[in-house]
Amino acid sequence: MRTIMHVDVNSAFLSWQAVYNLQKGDKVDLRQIPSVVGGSQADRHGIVLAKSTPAKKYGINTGEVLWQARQKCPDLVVVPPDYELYIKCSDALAEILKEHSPLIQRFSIDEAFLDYSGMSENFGPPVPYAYALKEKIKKTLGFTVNIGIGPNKLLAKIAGDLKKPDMVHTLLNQKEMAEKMWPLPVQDLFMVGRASKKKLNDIAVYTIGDLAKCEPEILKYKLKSHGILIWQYANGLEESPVHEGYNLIMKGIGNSTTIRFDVIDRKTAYKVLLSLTESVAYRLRRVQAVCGVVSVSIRTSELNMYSHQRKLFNRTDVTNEIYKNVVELFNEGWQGEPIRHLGVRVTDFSSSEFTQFSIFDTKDIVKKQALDSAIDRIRNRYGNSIIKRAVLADDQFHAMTGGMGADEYPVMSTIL
Amino acid sequence: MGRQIVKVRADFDVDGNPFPLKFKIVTEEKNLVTVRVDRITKSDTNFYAGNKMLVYHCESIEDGVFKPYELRYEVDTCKWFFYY
Repeated sequence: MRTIMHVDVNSAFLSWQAVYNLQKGDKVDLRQIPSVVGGSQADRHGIVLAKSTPAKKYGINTGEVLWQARQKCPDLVVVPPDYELYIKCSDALAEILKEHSPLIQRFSIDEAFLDYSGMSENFGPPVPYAYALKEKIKKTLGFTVNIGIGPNKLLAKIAGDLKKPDMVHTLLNQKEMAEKMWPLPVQDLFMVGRASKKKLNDIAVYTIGDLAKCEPEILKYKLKSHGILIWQYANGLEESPVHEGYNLIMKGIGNSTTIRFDVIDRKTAYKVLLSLTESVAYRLRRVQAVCGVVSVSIRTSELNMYSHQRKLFNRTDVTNEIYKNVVELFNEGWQGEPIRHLGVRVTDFSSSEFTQFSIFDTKDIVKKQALDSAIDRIRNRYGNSIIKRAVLADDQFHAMTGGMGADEYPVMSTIL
Repeated sequence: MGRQIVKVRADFDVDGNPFPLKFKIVTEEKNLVTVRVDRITKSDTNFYAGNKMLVYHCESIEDGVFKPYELRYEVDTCKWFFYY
């Protein structure tokens, strides 16, 4: 039988920031006071990304709007996010885990799986080992983690989520599963979201135990193949290996942004779209891919969201080509309402090593590619805003909008 | 505890470990004062939040008395911090 450990940082973004601040000489530990990591409210990026345990006691939830959180707790301390720091912390954690097992999988920015199978003979039983590992992380890196131990990745993950912070839990056999996992509400199960929860509640399935004892045929009728999957999960059946590295095949690249004000005219929207396209195309070229599908998403000031996409006649990685399609898609899709949020996404990749030219290609495609690669090199060397489009020179928007590869380590992942 | 980024003169040993010799601080009266590190009582490395920091517990003689303080070297940025 395998032994898998799941290491999960407790309120990751917040505790990383807290430890960093303490190291810099701050006296206040953000983890001990009601505090949240959140975007700036003035720029309307104001949602709670992570919260401290005292903030949780006020009923503040992740994903909540900042002003709502402030209403619940007027003394709330809000710190801005710092993705560079998070990646540094995540790398440091992975570095420590690598000293402990030859096989680790970084599941998301703050979670990792560690394969302990066959190691008990040399390193002792898994539980004391997990405690030692947890203490080592706390001592070296200054933040606390939860470790869950199970016979597969799924049970290890559920065990790790049982009670926080700074704990080790096990879910090793049927008996433990019945005691610890089955009484939990069904939405605590991996892959059971809001939609599935509603469907399950309709057939009187409220806990994971109910789900485990359910007839798989009924679930299949109600939820299709997903029903079988979550039934297996509820019974602790999951066999995926701990795969090393982070080589999930990238399926798409996208950037989106919430704009400081509602956009009501095309000209401003084009500027935002261009700025987003600049980052998307840059990242596309960085992974040496060309895209076959471009899509644009629009969220209106009433928070309705819709998107529009198109398959390209010929795959491309040229900023101008992608932008041309983005603008056309936007013109076709936009219904004239005030825009709060815009996104550009490219999918359907193939390698950019060899591409097929077409007789219908825009003129000078080679010249445009050379121009893009020159701009990329300048930006790599001197920073993203050193060279920008004239239309963005008024500094209303950045030369490139959106995160740069923070999603290479996603905050959430759904594939075990 | 106060903190200041300071200009430091340091020795590096053959293993690449720096040891501060003297540094310049700005006093409350905005004067630039050079302080000589008379004694390093303890040095260690911390790796909190994945940020490598060399910490030196130092003492300097002021009016005939050893005054303790800390100097920290942030490896990623090559900056020295003075904590008092």
